[in-house]
Amino acid sequence: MRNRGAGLSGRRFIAAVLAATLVPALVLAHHSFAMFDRERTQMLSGTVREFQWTNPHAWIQVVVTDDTGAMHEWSIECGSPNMMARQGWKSRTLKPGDKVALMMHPMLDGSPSGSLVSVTLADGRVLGPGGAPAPKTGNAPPPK
Amino acid sequence: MMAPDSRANAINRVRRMAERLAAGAALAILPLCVSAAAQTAPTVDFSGIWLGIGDGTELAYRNSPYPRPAPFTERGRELAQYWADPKNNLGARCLPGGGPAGMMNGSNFFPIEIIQRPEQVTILFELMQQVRRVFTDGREHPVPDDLEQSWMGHSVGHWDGDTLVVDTIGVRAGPLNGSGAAVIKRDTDADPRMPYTATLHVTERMRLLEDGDVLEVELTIDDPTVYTRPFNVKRYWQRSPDTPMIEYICTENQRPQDEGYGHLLEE
Repeated sequence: MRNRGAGLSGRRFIAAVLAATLVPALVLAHHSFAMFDRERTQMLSGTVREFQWTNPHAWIQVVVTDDTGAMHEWSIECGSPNMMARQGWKSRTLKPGDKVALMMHPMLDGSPSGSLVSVTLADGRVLGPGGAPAPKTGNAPPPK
Repeated sequence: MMAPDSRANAINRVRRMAERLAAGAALAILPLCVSAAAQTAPTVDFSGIWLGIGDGTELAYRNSPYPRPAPFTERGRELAQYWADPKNNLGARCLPGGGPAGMMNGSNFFPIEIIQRPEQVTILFELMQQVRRVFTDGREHPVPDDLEQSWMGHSVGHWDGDTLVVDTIGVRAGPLNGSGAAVIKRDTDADPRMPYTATLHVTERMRLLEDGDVLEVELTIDDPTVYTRPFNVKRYWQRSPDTPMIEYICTENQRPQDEGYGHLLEE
C-alpha cells in the first residue's frame, strides 16, 4: 500500500511558514517539552492515522511517506485539549485519512516525534498547539 | 479579634440574659447579638470564573516578577537546581504544582472558578481539577503535630473590610514557577526555579478592582529554608464569566516521552 503524504501547495506552504513564524510563545506547558529541539522547526506532510484528544496533551499520529516510498509513523505532541478547544480545535478536527501539513519541533534524539507548532488542515485552516483564550467578559473596563 | 472561647461565653451570657426576658423579646435580641460577635460580612463577591491576565490584555495590570537576583539561601540554590531538572518535573507525572501555586502563576491558560460563601471560599482550578478551600469560619490552622503536608496546604481566611486575607501553611514542596520547559523557547526559561518547602508560609491579600472585573492577589512568600527574606508578588485575574470550565483528567494519555526523560530511562 502506498500512502502518499499530502504535498504543500504554494499558498498553504506560505500559510504554514507564516504560522510557524508568527505563532508566539503561547504554550506555557506545565509539562516538560525538554526532549524537543525548540531551536529547529521542521515541516511534515502526511496522512492522519489517529488523533488522540486526551490529557495531559493531545497527539496526532501521522503517516509520512519518504522519497523511497517507505512509510513512517510520527507522533506529534500538541497542547492540552482545553487550551486547544479555546483556539478552535475540536476532537473531530482531525480524522483518520485526513491529509495534513504541519510544522513541528523535532525530538533531540532523532526519533520520529515532534511538538506541534502549527498544522494546516485540508480546508486550509491553520491551527496552533493551543494557547491562552481571550477573556470573555461583558463589561471589561476601557484600556488605560 | 475575640477568641472563640470568649465569644462562646459572651453568647452564653446573652442567652442567659435573654431567658429572663419575655420569649418574644428574646427571639428578637439573640440573632442581633450573635451577628455582632461574628466577622463583618464583605460587601463584595469573588464568585465567578476568572482568567489570569496575560501580556495580550488591554488592562494596565501585569503580574510582578520574582525578585532578581533571587534571595536564595544555600539550600534554596540547591533546590532551584533540583526543580530545573526536567526529570523532577511534577506536571509530567500529573502531580499538581503545589498549593497556592495556581494563584502564584496567575495562569491565563486555565481558568479558575471561585465560590464565595460566608464560611468558606472555594477555588476550583480547571488545571488538573484541583480544589482549594479557604476556611473563613473562624477556625485556626492545625497545631504542628496535627498538620499534614498537602498539595494545597491548609488555608484560613478572614475579611479585612472587602479584602480577603488568606494564611496558608502545610504545602508540599515544589517550585512556585513550575518545573517544565515550554514548547517554544521563552525569555523566562533561563530564570531560576523558585522553590518552596515545608516551612513555606504564604499570606495572600485578595481584593476586587475595576468595579469587580479584576481580582488582585498580593502574595507574601516567606520560606526561611529557601529565602533569606520574605518577598511580595502581585497576580491579577480578569473576570471571564463566559469562559467554560472544561474537564481535565491528567492521566488519560501519559506517554513515557511526555515525562521528558524517556530516552534516559532506556539507557
